[in-house]
Amino acid sequence: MQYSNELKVGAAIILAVVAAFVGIRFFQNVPLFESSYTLYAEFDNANGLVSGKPVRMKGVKVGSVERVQLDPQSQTVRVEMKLERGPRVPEGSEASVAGISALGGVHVSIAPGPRNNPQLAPGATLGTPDAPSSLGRLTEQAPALASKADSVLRNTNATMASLNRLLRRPDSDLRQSLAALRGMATDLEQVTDAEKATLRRLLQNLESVSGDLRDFTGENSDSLDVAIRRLNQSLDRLNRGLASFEQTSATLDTIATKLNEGSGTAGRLLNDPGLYVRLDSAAAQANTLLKDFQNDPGRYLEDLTLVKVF
Amino acid sequence: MDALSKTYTPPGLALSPPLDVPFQTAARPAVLDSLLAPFRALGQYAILIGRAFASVDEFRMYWKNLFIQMVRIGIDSVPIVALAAAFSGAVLTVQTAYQLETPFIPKTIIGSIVAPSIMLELGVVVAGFILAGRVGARIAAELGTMRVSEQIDALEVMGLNSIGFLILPRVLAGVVMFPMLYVVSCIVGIGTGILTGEVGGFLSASEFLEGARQFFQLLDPLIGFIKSVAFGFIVTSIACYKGYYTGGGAVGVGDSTTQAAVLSCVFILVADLLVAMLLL
Amino acid sequence: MIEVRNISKSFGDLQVLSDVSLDVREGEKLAIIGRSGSGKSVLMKHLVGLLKPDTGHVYVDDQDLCCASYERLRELRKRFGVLFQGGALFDSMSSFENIAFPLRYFSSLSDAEIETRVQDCLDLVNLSDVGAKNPSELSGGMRKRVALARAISMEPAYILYDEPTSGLDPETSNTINDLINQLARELNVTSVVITHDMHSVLEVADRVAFLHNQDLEWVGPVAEVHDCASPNLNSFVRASEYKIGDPSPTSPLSEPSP
Repeated sequence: MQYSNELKVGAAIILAVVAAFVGIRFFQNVPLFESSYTLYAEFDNANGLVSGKPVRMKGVKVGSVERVQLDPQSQTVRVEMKLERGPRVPEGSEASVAGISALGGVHVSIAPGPRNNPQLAPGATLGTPDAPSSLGRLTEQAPALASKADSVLRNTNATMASLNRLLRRPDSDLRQSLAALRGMATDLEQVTDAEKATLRRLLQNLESVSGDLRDFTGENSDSLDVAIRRLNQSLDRLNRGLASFEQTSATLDTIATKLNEGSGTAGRLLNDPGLYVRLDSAAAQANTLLKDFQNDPGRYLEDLTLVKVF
Repeated sequence: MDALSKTYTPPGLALSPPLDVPFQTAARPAVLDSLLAPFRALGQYAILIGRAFASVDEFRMYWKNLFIQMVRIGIDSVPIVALAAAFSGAVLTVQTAYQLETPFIPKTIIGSIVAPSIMLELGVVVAGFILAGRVGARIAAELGTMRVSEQIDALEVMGLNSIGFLILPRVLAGVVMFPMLYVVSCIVGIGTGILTGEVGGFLSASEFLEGARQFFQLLDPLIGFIKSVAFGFIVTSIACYKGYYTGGGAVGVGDSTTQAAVLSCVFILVADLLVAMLLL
Repeated sequence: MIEVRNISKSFGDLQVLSDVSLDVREGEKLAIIGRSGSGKSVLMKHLVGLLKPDTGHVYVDDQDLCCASYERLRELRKRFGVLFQGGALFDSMSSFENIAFPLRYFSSLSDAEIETRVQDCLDLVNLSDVGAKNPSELSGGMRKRVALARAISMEPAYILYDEPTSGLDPETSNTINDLINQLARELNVTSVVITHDMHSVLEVADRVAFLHNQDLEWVGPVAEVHDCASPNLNSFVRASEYKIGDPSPTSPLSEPSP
């Protein structure tokens, strides 16, 4: 069949243009006919990311980088990405620059958010897994932290046990020693008062620790370091508090010994039921707190999965 | 007469130079004359091509010629360009794979080297060389024969603008159709590259494409395109110049044809370097 | 009327024409004769403006070719039909297309009218049935006749014949000579025949111009060729007489490519 020259030339040129267009889009890795949408991400450092590089989610290509530009105001790198319609990028997904630029393998990696979250709207800006390094630091410190907490609790346990023993023992000589104890009542009351404050502080500290930890789970918890440091401090303080508690118990121990030996004033002290009740309630308070902490540390360290050692 | 005919250069004044009278320059020393010859040739070439483009206003008379030339220069060249591209693509893939045969380099790098090489350089330069031979020689021989058999004079005497009629369609066809052939060359070259890896079993198509896509830049095909336009102009315009100013019968046509092919190749290389230096 | 006034032409330091003046009168058949390389073809190319003289002027119907713009020159050229030595047929086209070629570009004739006109021209050169053939399929004589048909297709006022009989056998030469006479008679054109074939000159020409040593040595009626005062022309004529019917060799440079 004979075709005119014009037809041949026209067909050839159109074919070439179409082929060139398709080829370029093909190599640019942009879906040809499937519609795409745009997402943004902001990074501190592009690490050699340029347009045309792939965007991957769980290692699978889902789009490509359209444009990389430095925002002069915020001094961050704003990356425009074209994503295929197919794979869902749920809300809460986070983007990061991955790969080594020297090998040309730099790409944007998207860590998908919770599965049940709705799809991100086109034009949205993806979050970045902020300061992944501090999380790493936490991972490093977690075992030490855990063992420290463990030893603190073991100390507490021991202290409680001795206190219990001490409190259970004075049954026979207590009435006789009431008069002797009365003289010491003021002293002991003061001590107990002091210990009450210490315990309250202890409780507050523990509360602030769990508050920090709760904050940490929040989206903008870039104060994880601070939280860790505070947790450390709190545990130190708890330690110190328990040490002084131990001292107190030691004092009680000597008192009890004196009582046992039939010391006059101690007998009087033991005669006062109010003192006993006060002492008991203080001990019970500490007991419940520590038992609670021992039974379910997760309540205080909620969401801090790394401290699940408890 | 015969010896003189070889140094024949038509006078600049003549609208259409004669063939039976050799051109001799005035009493200048022969050395100076041969030193000046390239400049004279360049000037003559520039004037000829300038006049070809100056006749663009009467182009509607010659547009049919344009399509004839587009078919001859462009479409008829597709098979040979595709053949050359196929072999160069296959060879490049095999040899790149051979050179990168170490466990530390991912195989995808082969694709990242082969695809841009073809788009940037090999596809267009190989096509350019093939076309310097095929198109350039053809044009030079055609116009040279028309010159020595007085067909160009016949055109002129009829009142046609022989430069506009003969040269402009050929140069335009070259400028338009070379990019088309470049696209063919790239597609076939990369296609055979992929096929070679797949058939040879040393590189899968997806590995090749992964590498090719990873390093793909729009600038690569763009520069290849610019080169193809430049080569199209170079090959056709040099061939037209050599053919149009052919002198001395069958030997003259042979000389023109050879020179057209050789000069086209040389200037393709020069232009290749210039484009690379200017745009990369 | 073509008037050549004092034209000189040199290529580099080779003087080809020097102060040549010549009139071509309306309706006549002028033969320009001379040896090979005497500048006949150069003179002819000046007549149609293919070459510009270094000095002097060429007037065609009182218009100076030398000072005309290229556009004007192309208009003036349309008054000419030129039969080139080798015919100069476009070998990519059939004979028919060759003859139709100028008509397609420079006439407002419809396709049907062009077909009639081409056939008329072919009839005129007695080649009614070669229209479909390519030039390469034709003999030398037929090619010249097709070229002649093409030269007359635009109904020119002047026909220039460049060596019309060179390379042809005597019989074909006679056919061409007859054709030149016939066309001059029927189309009422002015003919300029450039030749070194004295037989052709005697058959065709009204007047003869003898070009020798870059100049016209003798111009006069053909009847006076045999008893002129020019010794060079006498020897030329005498040399030709012994060779009548034998095609003269042409310059290797002007030989058409095979």
